[in-house]
Amino acid sequence: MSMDQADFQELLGAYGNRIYSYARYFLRDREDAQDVVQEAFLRLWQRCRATERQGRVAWLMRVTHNLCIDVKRRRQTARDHVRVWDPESLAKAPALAGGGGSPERELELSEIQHQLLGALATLPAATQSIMLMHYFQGLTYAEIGRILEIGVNTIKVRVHRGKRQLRGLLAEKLVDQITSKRETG
Amino acid sequence: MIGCEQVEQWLAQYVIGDLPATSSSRVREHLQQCPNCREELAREHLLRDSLANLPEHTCPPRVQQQILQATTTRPARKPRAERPRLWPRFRLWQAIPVGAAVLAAAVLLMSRQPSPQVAEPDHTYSAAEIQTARLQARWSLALVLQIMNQSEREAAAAVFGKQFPQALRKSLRKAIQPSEGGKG
Repeated sequence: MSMDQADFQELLGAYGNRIYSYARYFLRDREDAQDVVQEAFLRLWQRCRATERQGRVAWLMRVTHNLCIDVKRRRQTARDHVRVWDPESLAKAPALAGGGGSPERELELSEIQHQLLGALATLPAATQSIMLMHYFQGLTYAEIGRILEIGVNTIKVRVHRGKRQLRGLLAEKLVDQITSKRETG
Repeated sequence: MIGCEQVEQWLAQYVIGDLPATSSSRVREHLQQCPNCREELAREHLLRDSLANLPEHTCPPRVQQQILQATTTRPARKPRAERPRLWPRFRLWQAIPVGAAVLAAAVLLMSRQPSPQVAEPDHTYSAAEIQTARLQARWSLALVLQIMNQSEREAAAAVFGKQFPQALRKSLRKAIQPSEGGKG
């Protein structure tokens, strides 16, 4: 059965903020995240073949994941292009520098959250995406595997590698936390 | 007892209770004896608490309105059964024998030698002419089958089943080796 307006509005209401948040934390840019969420829902309306709600939600998340990776890839290409042809402009274009979210937009985050998001942005796009799906969205490895149509072992390996790269930052913050607890008693 | 590498890989699932009971107890056992992995567990908790508590952003109402507006101007995807079909459904397994028959008929027609004299046409063919026509038809069939791509071959194999490869092999064998006593 094709999706009707009521089904679509229900999905937009239930998942709009979640998809937008995921895109914002992935891309660290408000405008890009708005573009992604708009495109993801439009594709859901026009292209999704799933007839059950669960299938539609998985499809929506997969499309969002793919769109975010495309944006990140395009940014990288633009940055490489600018670096070669106009390096001075690169310094003036923070959006091209990857993770274009300015600190004032992230005021509501703690320091560790802000630093973790910055560190996640340096990971390979697929790893970053899986880390956000698991830790931010709370999806299990099996759920992520169904959404992205990849094996659970692949997900385990990617999360493991991602955490390895964050280890230094996490260790440092852990020490800060312990120190802070001791000081406050 | 499992090693630290394995525990590291399982920690994320262990923390949320997503491991089978036996694996979970092995991790617990290892953690009791390994201070490095207990530190790793603390880092896991810090990572999880930090990211899980990221605030949810509100999708701007303007964006939601634009999405809804676009859906009123563009139709939703219809299920395949409801979509109008412009062409009859193409079935490869029906096209192969038809194509081969058309090719064979064309070859037979082309192999007829026109009579130089204006005489009553002779409708009988010699054994040699028949053999030549059959050989050309088999070569044509083999050529058609060889230019099929993998998905087309699989579709044809699904129709002919286990006989298909044998039929193809026989056809090719007869076409390639007529001088070695292949059947005419």
